[in-house]
Amino acid sequence: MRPRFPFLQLSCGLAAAAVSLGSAEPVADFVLPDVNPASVRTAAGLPSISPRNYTETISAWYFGAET
Amino acid sequence: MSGSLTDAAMFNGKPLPWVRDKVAVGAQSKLQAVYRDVVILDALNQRVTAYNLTNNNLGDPIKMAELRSLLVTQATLIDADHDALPDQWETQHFGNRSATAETLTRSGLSTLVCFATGLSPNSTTNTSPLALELGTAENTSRVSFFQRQRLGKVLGIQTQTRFSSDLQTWSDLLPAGAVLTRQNPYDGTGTEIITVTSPREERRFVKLHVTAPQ
Repeated sequence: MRPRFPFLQLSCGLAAAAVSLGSAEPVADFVLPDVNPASVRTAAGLPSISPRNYTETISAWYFGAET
Repeated sequence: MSGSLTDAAMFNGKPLPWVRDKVAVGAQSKLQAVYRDVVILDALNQRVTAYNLTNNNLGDPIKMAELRSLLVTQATLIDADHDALPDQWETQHFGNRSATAETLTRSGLSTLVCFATGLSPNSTTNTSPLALELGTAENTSRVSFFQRQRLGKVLGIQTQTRFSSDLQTWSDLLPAGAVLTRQNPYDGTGTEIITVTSPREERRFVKLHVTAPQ
């Protein structure tokens, strides 16, 4: 059964970004808890994650699924 | 992806954040993603593109290079007017590319310093990009200096804290017994915080030195 859309942030903060090729508006905002206890963010005391944490850098978000 | 995200073996020991979407949040639809998409967001959180890993098997070196190229292209800064300021950043803050690195901002800092340390050039309330804190550790008075600098390589810009005991001779070497740490605060400024902590001395001067390639 194809699940309910959990997702994983694949990588982030590679560097600052180039001129946008995307849409004119930023993506809608959201905040979700980071469930990986080994996450680099955990060490920074940040239990949740949002695209707003990665403005001024590029970020890549991978959408997998659980069954 | 098989298994469950509740299976710790899937992420334990790996530094990447994992998050679980919720119907009430709808992150997947907000990022316009389909199953096995890698969605790339730019510096302003605009959706650049998506790369689907079902259609593009990363076991194929060509596909891996393709995805890498997408990421690197986005992470490569463009400075068409060669003023050491990224075009995107200039346009974002000034609406055009007329500013130069030396242009003074409303807070009195140069535009280059604002960019290099993640400050807004339009703010009138910017404090010093170099901060100081006194403390004690192991019964020794210590002093810590904090500065911010851009993550990654940004147009060759260098941001350094320099030290002096007489205001005549400056060095970027750490003072004796000093410890340097880096921390990414993930606060959306694209910067990391550099902290230099050392035993307190009778007199020490510090300055932030920002340089850009000519």
